[in-house]
Amino acid sequence: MCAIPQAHHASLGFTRQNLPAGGHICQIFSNDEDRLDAVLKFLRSGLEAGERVACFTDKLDNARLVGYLADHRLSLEEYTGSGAFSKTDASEVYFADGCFDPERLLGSLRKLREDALAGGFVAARVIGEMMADVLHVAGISRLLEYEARVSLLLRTCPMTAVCQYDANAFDGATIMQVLKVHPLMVIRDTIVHNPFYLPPEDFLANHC
Amino acid sequence: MSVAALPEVRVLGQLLLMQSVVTSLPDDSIIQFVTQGLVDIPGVTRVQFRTGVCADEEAALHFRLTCGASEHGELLFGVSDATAFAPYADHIRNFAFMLAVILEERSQRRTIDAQYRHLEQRVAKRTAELARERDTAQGYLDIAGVMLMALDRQGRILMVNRKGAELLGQAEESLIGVDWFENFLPARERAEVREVFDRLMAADTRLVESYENVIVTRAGQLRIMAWNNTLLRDEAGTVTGTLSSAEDVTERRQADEKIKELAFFDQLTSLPNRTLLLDRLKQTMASCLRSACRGALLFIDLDHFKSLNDTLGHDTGDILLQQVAQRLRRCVREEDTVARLGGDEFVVILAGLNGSAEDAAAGAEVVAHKILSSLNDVYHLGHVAQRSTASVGVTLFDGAQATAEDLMKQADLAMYRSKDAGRNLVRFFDPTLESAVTERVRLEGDLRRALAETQFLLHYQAQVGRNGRLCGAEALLRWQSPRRGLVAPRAFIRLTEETGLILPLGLWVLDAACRQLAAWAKQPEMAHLTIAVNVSARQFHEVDIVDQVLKVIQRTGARPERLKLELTESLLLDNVSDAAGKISALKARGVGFSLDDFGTGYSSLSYLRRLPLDELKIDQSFVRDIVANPSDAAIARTIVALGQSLGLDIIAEGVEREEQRDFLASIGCFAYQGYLHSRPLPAEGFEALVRRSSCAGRK
Repeated sequence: MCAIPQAHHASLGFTRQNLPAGGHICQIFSNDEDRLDAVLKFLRSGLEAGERVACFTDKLDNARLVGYLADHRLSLEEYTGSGAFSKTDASEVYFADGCFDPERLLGSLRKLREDALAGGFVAARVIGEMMADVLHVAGISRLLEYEARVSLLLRTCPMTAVCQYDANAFDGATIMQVLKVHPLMVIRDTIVHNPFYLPPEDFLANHC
Repeated sequence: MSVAALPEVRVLGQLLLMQSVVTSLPDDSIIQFVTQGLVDIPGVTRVQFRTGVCADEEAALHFRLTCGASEHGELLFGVSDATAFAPYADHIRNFAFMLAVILEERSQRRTIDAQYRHLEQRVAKRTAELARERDTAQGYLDIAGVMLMALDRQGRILMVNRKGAELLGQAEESLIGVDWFENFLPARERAEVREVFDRLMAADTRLVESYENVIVTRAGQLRIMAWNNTLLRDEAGTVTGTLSSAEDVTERRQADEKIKELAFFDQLTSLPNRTLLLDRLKQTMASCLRSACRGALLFIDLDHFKSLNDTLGHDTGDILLQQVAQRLRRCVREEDTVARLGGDEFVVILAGLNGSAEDAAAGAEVVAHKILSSLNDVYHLGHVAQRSTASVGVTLFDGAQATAEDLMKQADLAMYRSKDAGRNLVRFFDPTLESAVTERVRLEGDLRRALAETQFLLHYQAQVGRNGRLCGAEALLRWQSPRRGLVAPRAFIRLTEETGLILPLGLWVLDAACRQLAAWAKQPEMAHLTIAVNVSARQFHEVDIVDQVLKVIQRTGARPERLKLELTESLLLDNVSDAAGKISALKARGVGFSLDDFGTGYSSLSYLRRLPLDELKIDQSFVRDIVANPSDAAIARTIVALGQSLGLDIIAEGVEREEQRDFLASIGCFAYQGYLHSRPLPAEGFEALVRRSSCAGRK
């Protein structure tokens, strides 16, 4: 269990406002440009702030990601070498042992932050693309359970997490359910509090 | 009165958030998303979406999704606590309107997208059609048998078909954008043609629709192209370039040139022939008339060419003619004309001789002598080195007085004067010769008429043998002309030879002589007589002369052994073996042969052994001074000795005096012909002479 640390404040890249580490943010995107733009801003601000940054994605191949960031004057090569940046296939993260296991995932997030701090980074942040395959493999309840427990984790293990949901991969009802387990949202480059958000304790009590 | 509760900020935030999020959702997710979200509104138990509108249910729980005239269905709320719900009704109505706007916008976008896709499909279809049409058109362009090419305003190639690319020797694609004038026109013409093109593009000159020019292919070959051009214009009518079709007419033009060459040029020497010569002469005459200058026409005939041709062969003779042509070309200026009429006859036209007639004559004479000098140089004919000379006749003209044909006759006459004067000379046409020309024309007409009307007759001059016995006669032709009186042969024989009249005339003489022989055969005192008939060279060279003679003998009934044909040396020299064959054939039938004018021709005597002759005749030119002139006596003596050694009879002609006869007898010549015994007489007179002679002999 993480000791409650002093909150590290940093920009998430969308606004100049510095936010404390520990935010659990949802981004609904419907095109590649929106998604890459969010990744760029989130990574750049984290790296510039001295944080360790992780990116989980399947749909973005490495060349596409590196090329896009380089086009926007962000060279990952240096950060990759120093360990400040890492990219992992989303399927490897979510289905490491062939199943979707929220417990294991939460452990991975925790370890990511501990390693970052141990490595001298001021904090850790992660941006990950949620896979629609989770619905088929584990069902929506397990997905929502995982997201609610991430919110709980981040209270004691403050790192910033952005969950990217592709509106073309998840139906409208699922999107609404997903909103209810994320306290923050990125709406047009603005971080807003989510009025649909249900505290994880309430959510887990009612749904799990 | 109860006061309505205020709406919760959280719920209003949800409505705003949903408005933001739905813009990112796909069309089919929007309703699912909002119906889920709207359930969070206080008092609401469920939210349904209906595509239609149901008017009979409680209006407050129905929120129509209306945007302008468009209906997008309605949201139907299930409410358990109306009081709690009430503060949100208006906000939901606004939300429903915003949602309707989004749905309308999506609907319109779908419509636009559909139209766009439809349009895209149509564009794609039309593009494909155009591509097919272009391919078809390109196919037509490619199978076209002519070159097709478009140039832009700068003269760069916009389009060229396959035929054009093949012709230019470069791939079609790589030709696009290439500067036509810089790359495919001969260097010396580029600047001028580009200037014309630039003026054409600037509308400063008119388009030449059809013309021919020469282009240079990538391989450096020159090709003659026949062009048809049109201007390319844009919609505003501004000239944007040219479109041209072109056909390679190189081979056709070469064929034209060949045809022209065949029609107008001599094949052996490549000089203009008679047709082109006359054309050039007329042009030069016209030019002289315009510019008030003079010209000269030179007739050039090689001396003794026939002899050279026979001796060295025709192939060698042809080489000589080619070298003569080259030398003549070098003797004159570029603007002058050298032509070959045929055989060994050449003609030169000198143009633009300025100054007086005397100046022009002097200029022509200089050129004529230059020609003589050049033609006198040694010719190297294969392994043979040969000298030759020529005779030149010159006439001057100013384009006014004479026709081209007249000038040709004048120069020809002058050339004959040169021949007559000893050859290897230049002679100018003397206007007094013109009367001779006129006379010649009249004489030829009279001769033709004479032949048709049998105005000719034969006189006979006695030939006397040993002891003064009259043994025969030489038939001598006379012309009893109604206009000219009795005309001796020297006045017309040469013309008959030149015109070919000698052939029918010679045949008539032979026929008349044979008829006379046949008539005398019936008279005992005349039956032993022979008649000597002169045969011209041209006549004897007839292929069928042997048949002609035999037919005359057969037709007239003459005895062939009484007929003696007299040939000249020059006739035999032309082709000794041919003459020998003909003589042998006739001798086999009994006809005798005498060699006339012996000693006056060429000195070669070796041919005599090859010819089966019967008699040599000493020419009267040696007999005339035989007593007083030792040279003539020596020649006569030689001829007699030669005849004796060959077993030939000898007869002398032109014997007029007794001392001549006595001298001839002293050297072994015992047969004579001449005034000493008798002048030539008509047949009746000759018969009377024979009778008198017979009587005298008997006495």
